[in-house]
Amino acid sequence: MHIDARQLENNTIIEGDICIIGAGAAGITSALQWKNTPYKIILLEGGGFEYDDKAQDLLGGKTIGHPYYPNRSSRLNYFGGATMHWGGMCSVFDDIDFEKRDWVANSGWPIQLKDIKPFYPQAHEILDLGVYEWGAEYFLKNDSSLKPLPLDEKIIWNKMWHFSPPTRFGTKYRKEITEAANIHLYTYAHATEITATENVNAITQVTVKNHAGKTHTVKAKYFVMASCAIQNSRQLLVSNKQAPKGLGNDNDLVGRYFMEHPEIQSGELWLNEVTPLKFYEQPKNKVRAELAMAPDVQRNLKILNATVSLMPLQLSKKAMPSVTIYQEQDPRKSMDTFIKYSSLDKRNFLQRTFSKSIFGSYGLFTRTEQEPNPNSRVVLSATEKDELGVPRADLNWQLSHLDKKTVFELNKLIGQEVGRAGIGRVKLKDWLADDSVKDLPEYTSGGWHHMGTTRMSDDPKTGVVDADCKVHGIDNLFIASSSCFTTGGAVNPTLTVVAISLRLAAHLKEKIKGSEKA
Amino acid sequence: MKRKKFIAIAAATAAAVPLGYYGYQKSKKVYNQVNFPAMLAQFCSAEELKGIGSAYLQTVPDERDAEKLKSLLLAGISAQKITSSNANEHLNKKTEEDFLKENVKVLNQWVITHTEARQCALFSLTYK
Ligand SMILES: Cc1cc2nc3c(=O)[nH]c(=O)nc-3n(C[C@H](O)[C@H](O)[C@H](O)COP(=O)(O)OP(=O)(O)OC[C@H]3O[C@@H](n4cnc5c(N)ncnc54)[C@H](O)[C@@H]3O)c2cc1C
Repeated sequence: MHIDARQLENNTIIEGDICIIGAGAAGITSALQWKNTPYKIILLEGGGFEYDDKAQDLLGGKTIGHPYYPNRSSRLNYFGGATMHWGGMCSVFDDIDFEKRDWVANSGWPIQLKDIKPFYPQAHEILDLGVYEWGAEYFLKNDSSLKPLPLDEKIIWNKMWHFSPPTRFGTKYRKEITEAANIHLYTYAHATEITATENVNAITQVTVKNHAGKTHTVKAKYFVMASCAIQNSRQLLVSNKQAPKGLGNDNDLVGRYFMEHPEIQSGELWLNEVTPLKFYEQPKNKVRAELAMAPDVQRNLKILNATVSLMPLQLSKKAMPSVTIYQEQDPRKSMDTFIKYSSLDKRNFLQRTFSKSIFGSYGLFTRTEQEPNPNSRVVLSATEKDELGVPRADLNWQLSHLDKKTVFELNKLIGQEVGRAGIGRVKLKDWLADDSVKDLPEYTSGGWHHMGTTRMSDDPKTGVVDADCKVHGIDNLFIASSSCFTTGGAVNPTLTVVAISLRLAAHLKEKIKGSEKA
Repeated sequence: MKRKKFIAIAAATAAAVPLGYYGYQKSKKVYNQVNFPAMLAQFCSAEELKGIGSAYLQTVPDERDAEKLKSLLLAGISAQKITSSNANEHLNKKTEEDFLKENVKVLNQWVITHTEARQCALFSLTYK
């Protein structure tokens, strides 16, 4: 069922069993798990079904740290959320991503990969990722034209990626959501405040507003925040009537540990034989491999997790850092410029032009986990409010020395393994080879992956949510988002966001069943 | 093209030459073989190789001596038995061993072995 909150009478009270704030990948996934159940689900979406510049402006805020995409255009404020722009690249986290690693400050989730893994197959389906296989052997066996580099897998292994079509949640799941009798989707219902009980141990209601001048109140038994990392933390921080520092923020953690995946061109692979590396560089296959580091190598070198993708050197030389070309405040314009100047639209032309000679040298492109850093954070603007009167969220993205060290060690290691295999040599980028440069350069981009800000920990002193994604100390407030990630792993987040949302829905079902029995 | 230039140099220095038999000229050829990191040279210009060599010598100034470098590179083959083919084989083996032992350096951005670094150093001192 769909209701446009602009059309409701002012001050309407909306009531349901579960209120989900945000209808992107996480919110839509969460809502659909309740379809055809006896529970009334209220799904709140800040925008409508289409892009709307006024609604979009509610996401605006400054970026005040490492150069980044404008807040206003790095997420989309309408049904489907950022999946209406996303690239669709997906892969699974590794076991080591969840471990407490003594060389990675603030690492260690209270859950392990095995807790998320059971939800990956369904998430895979939701994202239209094709066959549920993650081992390189499967794809190599099924397609003899795919040739892996002959590297020692105990050191550098082939991590597989699947490409979603990409699934646009707002398009694919609109009918299912709006036709579900027990799912009540409210568009133009932008959450502006969450209200707790006096002792702050439960949420009573959410206030929603829109540009039509309407304010409504949503009451429910359980609340699930699904507005992604910047907006989730903003909503908690601005909700400071009962908790002066903001909800869930007794320990000054909300908004902190914002993480991205720093991405940058890091080197060149020169092969002594012309070798088309279709296995690594063909998104058209819907799967591809990237070079990843074995966990023991990460442990020995005391570095983060990271992977390297390959692209013919001539193509990679034309590619510009995303952060320099995605700078428009209007996300549609940013996306147009991105497509125009990124390597993507030149691929066919260059591949034709250079034909086979293109395959002797490859650009190396590293995507790395970043070390969780408390100073990398979302803060409320002291001066700027949006049109609905809510303080804007500013983003201060910060990196640390370990991030650069990781990129260096991984690329050096690839050089060493390529040399050991006798197939060529690797040349690092000048800034990477220069050990007086301690940090990644200014033009290091992110993948539009917003993570952290309401991190997961068993201890309220070190995390905002517990292992079940429940906000510490608040019985009925949950978060379905990459904002709960304690560390970011080396891969794009959305598959895991969807898996974590499925896990939360399963947990809530158990909890509700339990409380009904009681 | 960088690669072409060096494939030409490689061809000029590839013949197996017994050292004692050909005298000075041939010894120069072996010298060229020793100062020539064959795999790396497929990807680097002469200037780049020299640059790598100079960068290496800055970190190990003691080795700024062509004879010393040559003997370090050829250590393990008896002087009488040196030919350019077994010198080549010896250096390839040393390079492989370096990779296995992780005796690897990053010089002028290239990830190379200690042996290759010394070959570049010798190249920078000897190649005109
Ligand atoms: C250009 C681009 C490329 C990307 N490429 C990839 C990729 O290749 N692979 C990958 O894994 N990820 C990629 N991502 C990231 C991916 O889009 C996100 O991980 C994913 O969309 C997160 O889902 P979400 O539901 O948590 O958040 P979102 O998709 O951001 O959804 C949040 C929803 O909440 C709504 N909302 C926000 N504030 C409020 C409020 N106050 N009240 C009510 N509703 C609100 C928004 O309108 C939105 O619908 C990319 C993102 C971008 C922008």
